[in-house]
Amino acid sequence: MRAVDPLGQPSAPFFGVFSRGLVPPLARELRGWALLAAGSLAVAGLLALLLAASRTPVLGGLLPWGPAFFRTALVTHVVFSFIVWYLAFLGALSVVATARGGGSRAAGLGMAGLVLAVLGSGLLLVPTLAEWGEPSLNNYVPVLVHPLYYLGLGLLGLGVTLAVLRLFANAGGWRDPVVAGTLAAGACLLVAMACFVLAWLAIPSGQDVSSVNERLFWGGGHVLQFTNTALMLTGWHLLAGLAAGEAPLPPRLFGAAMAALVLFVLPAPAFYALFPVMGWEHREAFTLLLRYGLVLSPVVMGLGLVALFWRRRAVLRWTSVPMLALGLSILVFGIGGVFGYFLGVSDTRTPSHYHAVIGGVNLTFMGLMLAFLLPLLSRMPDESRAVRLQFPLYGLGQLMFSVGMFAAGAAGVPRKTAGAEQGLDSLGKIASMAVTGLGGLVAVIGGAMFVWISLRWLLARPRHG
Amino acid sequence: MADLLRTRWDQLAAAFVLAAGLGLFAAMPLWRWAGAPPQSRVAAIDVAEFEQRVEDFVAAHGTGEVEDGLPVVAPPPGEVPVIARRWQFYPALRLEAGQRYELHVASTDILHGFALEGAGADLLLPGGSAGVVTLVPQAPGRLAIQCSEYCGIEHNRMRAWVEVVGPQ
Repeated sequence: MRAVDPLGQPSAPFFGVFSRGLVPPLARELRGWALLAAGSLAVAGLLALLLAASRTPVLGGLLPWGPAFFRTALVTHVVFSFIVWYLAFLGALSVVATARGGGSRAAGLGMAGLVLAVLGSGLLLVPTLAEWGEPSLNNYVPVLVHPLYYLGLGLLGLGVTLAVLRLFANAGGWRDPVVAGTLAAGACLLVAMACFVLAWLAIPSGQDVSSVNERLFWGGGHVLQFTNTALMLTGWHLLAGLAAGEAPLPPRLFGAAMAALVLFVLPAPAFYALFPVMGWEHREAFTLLLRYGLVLSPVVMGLGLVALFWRRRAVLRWTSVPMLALGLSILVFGIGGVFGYFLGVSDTRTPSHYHAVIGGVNLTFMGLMLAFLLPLLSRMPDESRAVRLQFPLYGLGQLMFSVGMFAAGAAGVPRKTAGAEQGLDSLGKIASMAVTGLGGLVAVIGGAMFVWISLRWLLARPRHG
Repeated sequence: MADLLRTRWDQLAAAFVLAAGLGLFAAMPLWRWAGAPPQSRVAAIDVAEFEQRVEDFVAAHGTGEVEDGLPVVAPPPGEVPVIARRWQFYPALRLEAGQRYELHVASTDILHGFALEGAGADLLLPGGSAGVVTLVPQAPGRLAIQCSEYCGIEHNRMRAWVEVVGPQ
């Protein structure tokens, strides 16, 4: 079986500078971010197992934690699978884009950023395992209300910010889509960080802690979705290059699609001056940013990809790792995006939407890890059956999970409930939730396979020559 | 020539995408200004006084039934006071289809949301404030009420139903 190799044919012309490989300091940094990314999913998976065990009758009694551990573990599971995993990918792509620009300014910022991000992520585990602080399941960045938890999040954010600043110091070649996409993601991250700080300063004293957390992470959390989208589209560009040997969009058009994302987040910090941070207008303003700002760029990129697939249909290998990752990512993300326009107030259509779009982004990152980052680090997993099987398992499992949830929500099943509270009083609701459960199980198997494969290769000795 | 065409097409497409982005960006405030339902005004209340008003209302219009631990009221058309508090809407409402009700909803503790299906309403209520939602239920059935602002660990269970019955 042919190995996936961005350094060799047919993708060498597409990847240009990477045929020279990475200089050792950048390679070390890249491996660090990749380990943090894969490790964050491993931690998230272990916490998911622990929280499931904590609710199992006999097993729960054997664990050293009390019954409240379920929510504590849930908070940190979400943070690792949704925040650390994505930000670590931004760190990784910032190294790739820095190498692409060929710059070597502010080199210390890159490693310092990685160290802070790892330290911050590790710190999050301390209050979790010690069960310190009340869990708060607010939107975007759920937290344990404990100083160490906020410190951990702060260090993680600061670390990724430093990596982004290093990229800005070295940003050459805006017309290179990898550089343009990562710069756009980085710019959105800087705006998100500004929003977190502004919210912290603006929230009046005397508020309930749940309201504080909700409004602290509301604005920046919305802006972070632009970061994630820019990263995913950059990932689509890279995977398309690996799969088809050609970019889906010409450089200026890709740059414009990225600029269209950044355009929407630039006024976000001003919202803190325009609207009271605890008010209705503040909440609506950020909701509108997502509704209007996150459509255009993925659609433009999607059209470019469809055109590329059509042009290259004779030579595309549909079962290759980059093609599987890319195709499934577009499918799952697209369906999730459409679901987003049919949300109810409080039924399971909301989680169906975000599980699908998150699943779409995850598929891209998984593909990038196995087909791009590992080969870049001279670690090249063969396209074994397990490597290829992981993508349909995760992608189709996630799709079943989301479609089942959407159908259940449309039939009136409330979100974030379990057991009798779900009111599964019709065959349609029961069937929908059964599809959801089965899809979730299949996706977990695919996700676990990814973590195993990527960690195994990241921890193995590199292959040279 | 082919390269020139490709470059020109790239420039035109990029300009179009940027213009579309700017158009969408402009559409945000325009949508808010032209068509979006505005947030109803909320006003500060005396919490103890409002709670007493609700208890008097329950005593006057209670059916004697209890749903999910809450007394059920079946008031005549007009003003209906409702308390939003961690993590319930008090009391449970039974309203008549085709009649006009003014729900005076007050948060008596912290920041809550009041999203009512069928009324297109989504109030944001700081603790110690009240807002008004007008509701004319169209047909018998159930309308969902949900807190739309995270308010603590049981936020997702802060939901209730308005039971809509046919003309009595």
